[in-house]
Amino acid sequence: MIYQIDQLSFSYDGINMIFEDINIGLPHDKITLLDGVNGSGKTTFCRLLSGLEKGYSGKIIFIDNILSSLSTHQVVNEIIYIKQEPSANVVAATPNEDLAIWQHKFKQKISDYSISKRNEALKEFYMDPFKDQPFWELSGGQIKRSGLAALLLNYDKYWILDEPITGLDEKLVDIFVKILQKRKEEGKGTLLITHQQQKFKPLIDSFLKIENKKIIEKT
Amino acid sequence: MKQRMKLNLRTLLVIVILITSLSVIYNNILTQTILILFSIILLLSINPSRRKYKRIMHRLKMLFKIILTLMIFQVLFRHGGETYWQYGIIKITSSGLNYGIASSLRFFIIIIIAGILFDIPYYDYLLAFRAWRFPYEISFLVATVIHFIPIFASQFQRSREALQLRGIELRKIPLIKRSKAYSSLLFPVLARAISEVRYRSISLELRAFRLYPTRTYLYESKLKWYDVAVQIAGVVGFVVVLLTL
Repeated sequence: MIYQIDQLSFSYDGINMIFEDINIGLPHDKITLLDGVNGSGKTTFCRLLSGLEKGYSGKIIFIDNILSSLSTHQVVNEIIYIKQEPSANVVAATPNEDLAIWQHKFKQKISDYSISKRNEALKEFYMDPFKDQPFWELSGGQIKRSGLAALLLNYDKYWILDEPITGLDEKLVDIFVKILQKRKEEGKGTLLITHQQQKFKPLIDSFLKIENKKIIEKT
Repeated sequence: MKQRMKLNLRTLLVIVILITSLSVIYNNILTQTILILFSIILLLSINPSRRKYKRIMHRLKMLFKIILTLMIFQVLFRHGGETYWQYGIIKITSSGLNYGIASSLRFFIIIIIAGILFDIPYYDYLLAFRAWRFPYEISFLVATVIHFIPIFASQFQRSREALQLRGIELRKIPLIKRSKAYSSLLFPVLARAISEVRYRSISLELRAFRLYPTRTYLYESKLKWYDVAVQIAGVVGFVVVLLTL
């Protein structure tokens, strides 16, 4: 298990509970789909797993460590979390620069190999013609694709994806499904949140649903 | 159930203007301390949520080091009055000490006041300014500016979180590279914030903004008896302070 969650309860304001007594595990090599109505806490769950939200009760074990004792920096060495809102996944001015920041993290020098990896990732999502265009001139779908291209630079990590295909056209959804298919064959795990589940159904190893502040396993 | 007394935005704005004016006019420790107390009372009067408290405390914490540094510079390099301590050109004087502490307290007042005003809904500002018979364009402009600051702050927070999720800890990057990192982040944040304002202007156009010379409002900004009482007490107190101090 990459995550083992025991008796997790969480609330933003200390009054309105989002989760109450959650007990589940997420396998590191399986594709898990998380479902739930709008506002049920899917995004909050992703934030808890990525270490962005603290102040919960209960225990989240992350690869044999207590998650709350780890910094976000330590957590993201093993996972990548792509948020629902496209612009929340980018920090630089252009897709090319943004992926470069993923690679050099303002520290290392960029090698030719890194540049070619970056170009490949952008090409996979048909972003190469727009790679040097400022984000504020791109559409929501294009920004989303740039965010998804970052996944390919973090291929070996556990993926946490919040509505990754919202705003993508059919062709891109198919590309994305193929990538997930390949990961499944390689035994690389993903937590996937999506309301468009039909395309992913054959890939999913387990279904989770948030209902009445609980996360339950669906059969 | 008895309804809790909630001050009207116009009352808050009047008190804010009075507090900030006094804070600028009287730059001494005692006045600034009293004004901080008034600011806290004002904050409590709006019955803030726990989140709002946390946000204000977070801002205070974030800016504390900067305020402290500014205070130390003021204390060490502003001279006048009695000398308490001297080492070469550096000396601590009564005037420097008073000015340094008072200026820092003034910063705290600004942070508390900003915390009160920033989270108030945009529409409330429009209603308040309308009640004061401000031209709509002016009130819209002021309300937009007040609204823009939290938008910018949330954009910056979002970028900071995106960096965190990439395993980038700006604090651990060497200073020169860090400044380069900040500059490469700041421009997109600003551009995104401005582009959000652009969407706002598009939605205004779609609602036929300024098509007609007059506007109608669903709600009105009405003062309760305690609003009038607080405003009168505030203005009287202000005048008394001006005349006596």
